[in-house]
Amino acid sequence: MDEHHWINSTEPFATAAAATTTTTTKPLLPFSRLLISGGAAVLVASETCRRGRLLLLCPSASTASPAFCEAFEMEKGKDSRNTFISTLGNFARKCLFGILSVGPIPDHIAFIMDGNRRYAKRRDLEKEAGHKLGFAALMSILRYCYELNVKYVTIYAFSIDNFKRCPEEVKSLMELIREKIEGLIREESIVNQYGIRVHFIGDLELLDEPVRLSAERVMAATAGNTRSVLSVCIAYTSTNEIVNAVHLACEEKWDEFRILDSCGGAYGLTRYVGNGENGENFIGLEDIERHMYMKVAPAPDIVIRTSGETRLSNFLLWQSGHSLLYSPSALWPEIGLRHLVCAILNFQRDRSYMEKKKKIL
Amino acid sequence: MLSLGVDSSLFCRGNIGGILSPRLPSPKKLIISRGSPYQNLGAVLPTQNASSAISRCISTEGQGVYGSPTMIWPENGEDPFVQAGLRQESMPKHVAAILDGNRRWAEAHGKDLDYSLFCQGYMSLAHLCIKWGVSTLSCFMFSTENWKRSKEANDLLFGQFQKYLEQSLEVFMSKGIKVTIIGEKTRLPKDLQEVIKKVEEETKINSTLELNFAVSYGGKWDIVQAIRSISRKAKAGEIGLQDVDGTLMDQQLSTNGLGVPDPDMMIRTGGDQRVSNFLMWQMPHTEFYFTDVYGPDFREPHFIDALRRFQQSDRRFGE
Repeated sequence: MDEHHWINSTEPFATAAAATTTTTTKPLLPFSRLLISGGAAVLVASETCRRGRLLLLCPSASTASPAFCEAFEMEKGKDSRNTFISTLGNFARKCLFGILSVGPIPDHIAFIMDGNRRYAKRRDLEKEAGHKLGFAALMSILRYCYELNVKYVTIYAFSIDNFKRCPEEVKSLMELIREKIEGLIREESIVNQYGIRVHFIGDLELLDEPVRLSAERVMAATAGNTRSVLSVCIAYTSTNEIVNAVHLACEEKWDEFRILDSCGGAYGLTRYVGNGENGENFIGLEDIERHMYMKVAPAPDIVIRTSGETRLSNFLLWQSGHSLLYSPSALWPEIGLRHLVCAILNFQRDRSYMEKKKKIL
Repeated sequence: MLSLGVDSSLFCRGNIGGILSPRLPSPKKLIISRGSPYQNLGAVLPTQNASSAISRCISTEGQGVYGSPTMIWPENGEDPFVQAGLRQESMPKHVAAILDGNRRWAEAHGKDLDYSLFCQGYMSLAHLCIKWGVSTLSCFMFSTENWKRSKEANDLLFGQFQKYLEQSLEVFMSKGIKVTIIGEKTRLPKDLQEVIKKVEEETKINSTLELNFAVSYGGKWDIVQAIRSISRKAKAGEIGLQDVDGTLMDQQLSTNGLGVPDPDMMIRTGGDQRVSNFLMWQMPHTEFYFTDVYGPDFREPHFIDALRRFQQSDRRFGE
């Protein structure tokens, strides 16, 4: 895979000092660099112990996996509370996140989980196995995000365009999704651990009834959680979201119109509804945004798409106008802590550059 | 056959110690053919000298004087598509471009801010699109957010853009370029609006390339104005609310007049990896190509690299 036009994930996480400004106008914050190098030096020992075992569990296909980050990763899909080395790794990871938190942490990260089927094909597995491994990777990434205090996470689980796939695949995917949604309500699930409120974003009417009912159950069960938000985009496309918002906004405005008209309040209506010739331009940006499915979260700070493809695939087109786009070449089941850390370091560098740019303007 | 292999030395060079720039360097080893005397040119050259590096890679004739465009000419009568490693049948039909980085380029070279290079950059890109068979080029000149810039900078841009349009009218006619301007034109200075009207009118018969400038344009603005015109029609009873769907939205957007409204590929120079409110609705499946090269340094080899990247991507459209 030709990787060199996008951010590459092969670079080691951190050993020392400066990134130069040869290819970038955004140098890494000096204090962060120092802390990261110091932190990395301290954590070499735990890496050495874990590396052999981790490489067996999480083989990376083509990338030279940075040793330090692998040390901090939890075993994918397993509860890591019971081993000494896992505890050490968790502690090391918390130290790393503490270092990262010196700089700005994004409020909202969005993920396009691309590459499950290719991963399965490379390892001679069934497509369903690829999706299951993808789910395990998703759980790890969600834990990392919430440990880092990223308040909003959005994932692109299933697009309306994906209904074009072969019916067996769609059916098995829907079954897997339903099973995993049910799992979210269980006591020991990540939702309860981190106080996550879950939203299912999209045209839920397009889903089968069992899936839709499970989704509604989870939304109701987690409605009281306030610590963080997980938005699962299912049966979603951005164009569908915008058209739906148009319908709702128009209906709302016309209802207002009719009410005012029937009360005889129409005289002031053209002024009330705002600018434009004859008060016809009465739909505004706020009216559309109020009816978007994604009104539950602010605009994403970073949109991460795995597998090296550099497109949005009809995901958050409206919301991602100013988001940083990041596309590691790893496939979704291969995504790990290092990719998230790289994305956040990039975001921090970009944020300091954008602050400077605003001052110039 | 051309090669552009990943060279790990590109990462080590120019980075002291460990934290390598996660942003990949812009393609500095450009179109190099096997057996070419330039094959061993492995040095990483800084971005500011990119164009002279490119000219050294490509041609033995032209001196690669900074600022002069260097083009690829087929050697020995070979098909240029083959020489560049491209497939003619899968070229993108519509390319969108944001040639960002002019101010930083001017600062780096100790020059005053000059938007004429910005306009010339898009003109060179238009010539490249004609040469490589792209039928539509959309250029982001001025966004709705750019109104926050200083009045002097904006007046400079509008003045230079107006001059560029007036001076290039002959070129548009001779090359068969149809010029369209999308955006909130009513906010622009009156004389620029006049020139725009004149250029659009005179070039509308051309058909080789659709050159589409987005001036005072925003993706959100475009969608909102489409929604307003839909709501006007619905209120007037011309259409029902249930008829509002994606196709109707496509018809109301500013890009409706283009042969291919949705870009296949978007190129952004200058290092920023974001869409910045350009063509939101129209880019659900657009392949993005980001490069650190500044706008005035963007040349044909970079464009070919972008095209190659486009052709290597696996466009599944959800399937």
